[in-house]
Amino acid sequence: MQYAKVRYCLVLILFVLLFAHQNVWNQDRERFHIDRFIEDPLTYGNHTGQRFGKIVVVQPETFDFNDGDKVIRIEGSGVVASTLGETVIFLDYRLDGRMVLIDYHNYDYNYVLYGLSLVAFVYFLYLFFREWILTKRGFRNA
Amino acid sequence: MPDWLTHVVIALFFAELFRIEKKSLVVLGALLPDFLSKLHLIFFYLGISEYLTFSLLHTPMMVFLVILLIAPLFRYSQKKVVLWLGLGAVTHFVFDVTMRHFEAGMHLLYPFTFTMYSLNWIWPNDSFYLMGGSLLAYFLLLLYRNNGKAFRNVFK
Repeated sequence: MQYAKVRYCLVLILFVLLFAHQNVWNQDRERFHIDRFIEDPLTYGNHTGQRFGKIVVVQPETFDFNDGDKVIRIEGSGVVASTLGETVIFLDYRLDGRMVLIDYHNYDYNYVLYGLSLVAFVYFLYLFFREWILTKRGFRNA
Repeated sequence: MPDWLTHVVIALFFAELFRIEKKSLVVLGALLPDFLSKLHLIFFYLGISEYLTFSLLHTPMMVFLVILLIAPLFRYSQKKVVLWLGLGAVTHFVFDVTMRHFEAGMHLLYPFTFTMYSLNWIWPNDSFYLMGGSLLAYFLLLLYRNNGKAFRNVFK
């Protein structure tokens, strides 16, 4: 029993240390942010990356893209907006401040998948509470 | 990542294949990596998501540690609980790594390396095909289990 508690504490300590480690790593790494790029493209440009969001308006040579945070204008032609879903775009952030489309992919019918995921979650809850009963000391066999 | 229905069906397939008593544990294991990485939503709504990252909880090592931590919540054979949750988690990572991205992947070997891995086979929105395939496999397995003789005769 004592051994099990020590083992549990060791796993908990390892988990906390790794969680702290990944957060330190996250803070330390030079993260690309669209605001920083717009303010100072000479420093933060010359970079490629993907963004996820919705195509809002399509013009002949450009399109407006909403990534949930802000709407940005991208250079690129022949783009078609997604059907019932979002779009992932792969961009070249240039030193002159332009954002140029390299490639894109439409996540068509992604909203349907969100709906199916909700169905799956409800089914999981049904299955879980059919097999387990919640007590003060955890879950016991139903 | 594939949608949760695909993860659930794949987990149910393996739970049925190995005749696991508590199928919900395999399903929980299959959804656990996504549950953990979605924790950031709580902090996002609290406005402090900038300072915390949960994305690396979506890694085999971290999920395994969480499984070890939550296993005692179940008053059942601890070995079985860990094994079944682990099986579900393995199915999750195996199918997630097939997903296609322009630049991304999974930190499969965290904390040993931050390198991201992806097979780049299937766009996440095309997981309908995975879902269809896994549903078919699951129902065929159920059919085989429930009416084995009749099913075997098909191939004679």
